[in-house]
Order: sequence, then structure tokens, then C-alpha cells
Amino acid sequence: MKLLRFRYEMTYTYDSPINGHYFSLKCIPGTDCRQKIKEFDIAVSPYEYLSEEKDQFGNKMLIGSCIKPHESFRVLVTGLAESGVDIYECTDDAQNIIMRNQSPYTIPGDAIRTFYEKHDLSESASAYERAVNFMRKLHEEFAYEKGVTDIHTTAEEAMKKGGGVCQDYAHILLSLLRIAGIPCRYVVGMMTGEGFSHAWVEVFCKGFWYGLDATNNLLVSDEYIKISHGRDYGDCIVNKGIYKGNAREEQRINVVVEVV
Amino acid sequence: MNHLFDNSDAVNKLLERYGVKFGIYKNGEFKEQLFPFDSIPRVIAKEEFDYLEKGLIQRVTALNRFLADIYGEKKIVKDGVIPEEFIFSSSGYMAECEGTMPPKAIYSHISGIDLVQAKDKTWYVLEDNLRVPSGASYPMIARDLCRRASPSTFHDIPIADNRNYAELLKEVMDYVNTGGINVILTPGRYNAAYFEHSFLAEKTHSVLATGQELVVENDYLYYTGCNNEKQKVGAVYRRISDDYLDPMNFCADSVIGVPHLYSVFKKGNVALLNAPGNGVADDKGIYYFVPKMIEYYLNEKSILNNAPTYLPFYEEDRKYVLDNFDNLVIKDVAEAGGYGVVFGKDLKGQKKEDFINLVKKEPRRFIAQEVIDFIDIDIMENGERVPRKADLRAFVLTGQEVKVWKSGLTRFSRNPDSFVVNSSQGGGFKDTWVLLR
Repeated sequence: MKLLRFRYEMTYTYDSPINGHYFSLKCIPGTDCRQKIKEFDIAVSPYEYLSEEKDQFGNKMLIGSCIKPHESFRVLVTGLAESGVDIYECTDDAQNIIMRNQSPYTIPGDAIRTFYEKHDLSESASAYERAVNFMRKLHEEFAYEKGVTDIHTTAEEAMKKGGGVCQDYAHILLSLLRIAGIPCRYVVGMMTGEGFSHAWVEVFCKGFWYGLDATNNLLVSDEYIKISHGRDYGDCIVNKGIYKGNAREEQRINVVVEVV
Repeated sequence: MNHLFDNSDAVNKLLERYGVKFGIYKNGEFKEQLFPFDSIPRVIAKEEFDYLEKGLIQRVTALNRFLADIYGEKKIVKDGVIPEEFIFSSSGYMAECEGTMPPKAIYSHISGIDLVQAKDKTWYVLEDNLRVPSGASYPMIARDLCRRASPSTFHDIPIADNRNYAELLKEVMDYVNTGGINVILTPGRYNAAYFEHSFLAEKTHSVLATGQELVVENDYLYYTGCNNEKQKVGAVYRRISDDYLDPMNFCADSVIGVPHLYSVFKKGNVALLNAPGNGVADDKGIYYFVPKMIEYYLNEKSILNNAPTYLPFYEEDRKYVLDNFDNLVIKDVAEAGGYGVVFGKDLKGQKKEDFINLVKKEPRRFIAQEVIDFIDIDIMENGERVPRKADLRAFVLTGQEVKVWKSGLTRFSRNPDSFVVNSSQGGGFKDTWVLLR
């Protein structure tokens, strides 16, 4: 069990004013069996209205708007989390049905099916063992490479390219597990160190959700803080926004997690 | 009655004058077309309509139960009645709608059920339309003009008045309204059914608004159209598809939607007619399962027949489809409006082979149906009566009660060899008379 202090900062600057800006933020880690959020603060500026809600998977959201012209938008999330056990219990079995079906980013094609045929363990292995095996093979055969994929890249497209980032590792692993009919979900969160947010996979086995970080070939430990989960990236977008204006957007994201 | 037919041209001229048109996009260009009206009505006897009415109420009741189940407990999947592949990977399934219960637990307020009558007089349901079914305004206004052209016809024959559609619709909007005005949300005048949007707004005393005239503030929806004075909205009969409804929740590129509208709906602060997510129930693949749904939720046998349908997804059905390919009509489940419909007998050579391979490769994508030889109804063409294929879209409204509108949209194919009656494919329409005795 570890105490983790986190700071998640997003700054967007525009080279000319934008207006009619609507946003929805999914950057609020919640308390569950795995982690306890002991301190939390979020600052959004500018805004004209803010409202809290939960999405269909129970993730906390903050929605709002800023209609008046502005040239920057900043969200700062800070807090203290107690991150503990590595597995936790499932509570909603109706949602497991959704999580074992392919979703927009994970629909497999020939590349993923070929990988699946080559590496799937027999059905006598547990869901967990099959997942860990896929993770290991994926780590061996798929290269970590920035710039070859983007946020729209699907699992199948990434597999064909042979390289990508954490989002792609997660999508491919989800696609493979769902071919096997194993419930699994996409997770966005933070891990110790400095940089960006991170993505991993949770797989459901015998009543528990296990976290697998395919990018690093690691099981999720007490150095991870979960922010949200969903079927794939599309359900977990940290800052979704639309605005009017013909401006160039510059985005700076900085995530720091330190063990206290 | 002949008096009415003699005035057919006059009625069509009036329809044109009133702007009874529908728009169509062809090769990237928007064109408005007249929707040709034929004055020979489809006549449905009282006993026959009573039967249809019972069947339609049963069907729509079950479909509404199905939607509440799918976005909630998913019992029908857990009990193995419908394979989950047909639901959660369907393009009509919207995960965003999970766990949200619409006001009064109604998903499909306005349902358009497409039926045909076979030569042996048996009625078959061909399709359920639970998203944004259009077309009720056409027989409404046509009836109005026909009454003017030939008042005696409607005096002498006991025909159910169909001009009450607006009242039925308003009743439903008022029933689910969460407090505020009723609005009809239109994508604008370049939409195929814009005439209908404006006509229904006028008849139901609702405000006709585009997305730009609606705004979300502090968890409520407001109309900002007139004088910048904000009016709270309690019900939105939206004529915009799910994808474009709210760029924050669905398709981010939408410029015709209202940002955060779905959040207001989720919080129970506005009713959306129909509710988002209904596409999962009117998917052509799910159609196959509707009689099973009726048995599952209502514990009754389905009153109305489905056309005999096969799912290539099941091996046994796939074999049947391949063996009887030339006798079947194959439909792509993702398409609508008469697109993606292939008659097996029309395919030859390489094209046929390619198509069969596609069905084998993506069986989930297709359904196959026996071709129903449905009855012809006469139309007037160049002063002569000629038979043409026609279907019927019945409108079922769900509010406090489930009611069937005593009329419907009868569409016919103008091409004597065609079974496709969709207006986007050049067909025309007729009035539908339901006899009172």
C-alpha cells in the first residue's frame, strides 16, 4: 500500500480567441476497493457553468461551458491517493456482457485474428493466464513507438503497423481477449513518475478484475492511480471539447505522481 | 368516389403549393422532389384494422420493454433468448445510453411499423422503425385536401378521421414533458422531411427549432429563439438522428445538435422523443427476434407475422440461404431507406459469387427473407388504373397508453416491376382509409 501525491495539469492555448466552448472532463479518480482518494481538488478556468455527473460506467465527470471569448483553457487536478491491493471485486455483472463484446476501437481484422490463433493458450487455461500470455507475446512482438499511431487508430490498424503507444497496446489486448469472450475494459490512469496519463487493461477472471499494463509488460501495482474505465479509448477521453473559432491549439499536459 | 379521382390533379397541385415535398441528396446535391400523391386510397376494413391494432400495440409494447431491458438488466441476453453478438456490436447500440431511464420509461414514443399484405390477405411486418420514423404528415394533409376536393366522399363513406394525428402526438409530448415547452428539433430546411417538421410543429403547437436555438445551462435545456428570452424546454421531439444529437456525447463533428443535451436528458430534466439508443431494437438483425421478445416479455404469442426470415449467422440458416439464394431477398442490416436490398435472382456471375462470399465472411451483417408477393393496389397513370406494389407504414404512439393511428402512410412503387416503395427510391403515396364499420 502506498500514498501517492498526484498532479494532472492540462493547458490549452489558442493563437486567437475561441468562443462557444463546451467541454466534458473525465479526470476525477474515484474511490474503489483498489484505491482511496484522500484529498482532491480540481480547478477549471475559465468557465461559465460547471456540473457534475457520472457516465454509464460510473466514472465521475465534470461538464460545462465557456461561451465568452478566451485564449486559454486550463484544468488542474491535484490530490492524494492511497493505492492498495492489486485486484478487486466485480459488482455489476450486466456490464460484463458489454465488456466481453468488441467495441468501436477493438473490432478485430485479419492481423489480430492471426496473432490470436498463433498465441492463444488452450481454453483450459484461466482467463487471467490467457491474458498474461497475450500481454507477454504482445510485448515481444509489438514495438513501443511514438508518432506512428494517433488517437483515432484502431486495434487492427495498430497491429498492422506493428508499433504504437499505450493506447494501442491496450486496444489490441482488449480485442484479443474479446475474441475469446473474456470481459475486459480499457483503463485511463496515472503511474508514478512524470509525463502523460497512461492506459492499461483490466481483465475479469473468477469474480475479480486484474490490471495488466501491456505497454510495460507488468501487472498493475500500488503505483498506479485509476481515473476511469470503459470499453475503449472512446469512453475514457479525459478532455472532450468543441469550440468555435479559427485558432491553432497548443496543448501541454503534465502528470506527476510521487510516492509520499 | 369517382369525383375524388377526377380531382386528383387538383390535389397534387395543392400539395405542391403547400410545399409537401421531400428532399433527396444525389451526387452531393440537394434536390427537393414532390412526393406524388395518388388519390385511390388503400381501404382497410374495420375487422382487419382491429386485428392490426391489437398486433401493433403488442409489438411496440414488447419493443419498449426490450429497450429498457437492454440498457438496464439485459435479462433477455442472460436468459439466452437473443445472442449478445446481435446487440452489443450492432451499430444501433449506444453504450452512452446504459443505465439511463427516459421519463416515464418510454423509449419509442413514435413507432413506424412497415407492413405488407400478401395475396392471401395475410399481413406481414417487414420492418420496425423506432428512431425517427417519418411520413405521418403526408396522409394528414392529403386527407385535408381530398376532403376539400370531394366533400361528399367523406360524407357518404364512414372513414375514420385521420386528422387527429397531431392531437395524439401532442398528448404523448405532454405526458412525458418534464416541465417546459414542447419543441420539434429539426436539422433545418435541407433535411428530407423538413416539410413534416414544420407541419407537425404547427399542428401540435410546438416550437420548431434548430440546434442553434437551443442551449444547455445549469442542467436544463432552454429555447433562445425569440427576443433572446430563454424558455425552459420540457420535451423535444427531435428529428435528428442519435449520432448528431449532442456533439459532446455522440458524434463530435455534429453542428446541428445541442452540446450537453444528453446530460440534461440523463438527469431527467428533459424528455427526448424518441429516446436515443433505439437503433438497437429496429436493427434488421434484431427484427428476427421480435416474436421471441413478445413471448419473453409479455408471455403471449405474436399476433402479427414476421416475413419468414433467416439469419446467415446461424449455420442452419446460412445453408438454407445459400441453397435458396435466388428465391430470397437479402438485406444489409446497417442500411435503411431501401438501400442495401438485394434480390438473389437479380445477381449473376461474378457479382453473385462476390456477394455470396461476403455473406459467408460477414454473416452477422445480413438477413435473408422469402420474397412476399404482396398485393397490388391500383394507381392512376395517364388516366388509366394500373396495379402497383404498395406497403403500409402504421404509426403507433406510446404515451400513457399505446395507441395506433387510424390511418397510415401507404407508399407505392411507380415502377411496375419493383417491390421497393421507399420515397427516396422515387415512389409515391396514397391515403389510407380505415373504415369505421
